Amino acid sequence: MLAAVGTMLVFIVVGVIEPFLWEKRRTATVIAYGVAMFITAVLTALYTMGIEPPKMILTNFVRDLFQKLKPGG
Amino acid sequence: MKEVIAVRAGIATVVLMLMGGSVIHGIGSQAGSDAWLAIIFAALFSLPFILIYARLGDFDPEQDIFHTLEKALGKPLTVVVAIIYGYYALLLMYYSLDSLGNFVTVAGLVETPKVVPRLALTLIGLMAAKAGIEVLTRWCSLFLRIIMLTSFLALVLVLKEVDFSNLQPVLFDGIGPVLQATLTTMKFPFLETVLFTFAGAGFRIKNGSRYVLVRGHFAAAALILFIITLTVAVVGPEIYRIQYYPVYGAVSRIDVGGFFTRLEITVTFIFLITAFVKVSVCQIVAAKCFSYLVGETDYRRLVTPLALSGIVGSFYLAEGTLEMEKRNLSLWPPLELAVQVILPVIIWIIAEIRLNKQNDTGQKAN
Repeated sequence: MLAAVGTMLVFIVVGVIEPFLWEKRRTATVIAYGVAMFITAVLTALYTMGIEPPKMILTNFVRDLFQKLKPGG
Repeated sequence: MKEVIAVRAGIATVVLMLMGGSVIHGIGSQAGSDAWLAIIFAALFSLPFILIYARLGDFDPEQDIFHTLEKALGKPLTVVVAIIYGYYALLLMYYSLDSLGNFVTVAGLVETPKVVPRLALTLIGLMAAKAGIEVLTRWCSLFLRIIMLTSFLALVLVLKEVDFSNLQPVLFDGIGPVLQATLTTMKFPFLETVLFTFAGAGFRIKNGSRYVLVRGHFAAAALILFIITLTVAVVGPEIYRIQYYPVYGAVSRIDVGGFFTRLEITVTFIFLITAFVKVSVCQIVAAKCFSYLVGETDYRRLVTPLALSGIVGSFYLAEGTLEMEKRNLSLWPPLELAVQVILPVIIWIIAEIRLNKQNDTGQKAN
């Protein structure tokens, strides 16, 4: 639990400080950066708690999508 | 605008990127003693696709590939293409990290937590990606020489173990396994060059992409052929088929007078360097694609979250070396087939028709 909190803190610090170091900030970029950082932080924190993501989830997602989109599928 | 890089530096980057991962795994192992033949076939059969990637890069040398895609396909389809290639770049980065993590666990640091090598490579790759493709390619041009020197050193020392009868008889199992190995070798590593087109590097000469990609492709093919052929000649086709890391096994046989041993460190070194280059290129491409989606001109801003996702993302893919090996030997999964073959060919045909038409209209108006 402590490791997960520590991981979240590191991600929050990096995620907050880095955009402030940019010379010019666009809203869309900051939002995209924030969303990506948030998802990464949550998954990494879960991993440090021992909750490993199910394997092949990304590949299976795309494969299922292909199968769903297939004509007559 | 593109970052302009030197031609030699570009070639060096392509070579190291293609060697990333492939030199450590037994590529084309289905062909056994004919792996060398499969690599030669794969290099030759990949050439038309490499030329297509190069043509896409050379359509507008001043701008990056998304500019060409927008003119050829229109904005909505370019967004779809950017998502697909961004996803592919991320996936390839995860595979490379996973590959390195498994190698470190299997080869030596058995008790080391799986996350440590992945974290280290992710952070180093992130630093390189932040520095930009220009810096990375210059670094590659220096390190390619070191890699070649290291490979040559390993060759000289392993010569005593080489038995060329391991490469005979040629085509003993027929052409089938060779063709199968050819297709898997095209998928991994040769056609992964497609990502370099999306890295958005410009070159100082006309038709620079073609020059860099073709020469880089053949240089990488020659190096891989050299390493894999020697490995088969040293360990024999049967062991080459069943070992996860046959190159590592071959070099570990080096023993000069009982004094000069444990030279498998050279293989680890080559793998680390090449995996680093591959991961950095993947991070740059992923950042470029997702930056395009949000209309950001400086891709470096999105590198951090995408790169850090590699730490946990690599655990999404495969549970261990066995699954990783299965993936390497699989015959073109749908995503790879789409991004390496189908999409580039479709985009190229449309771009040739539309852009040439636009050029003709422009000339008539003048």
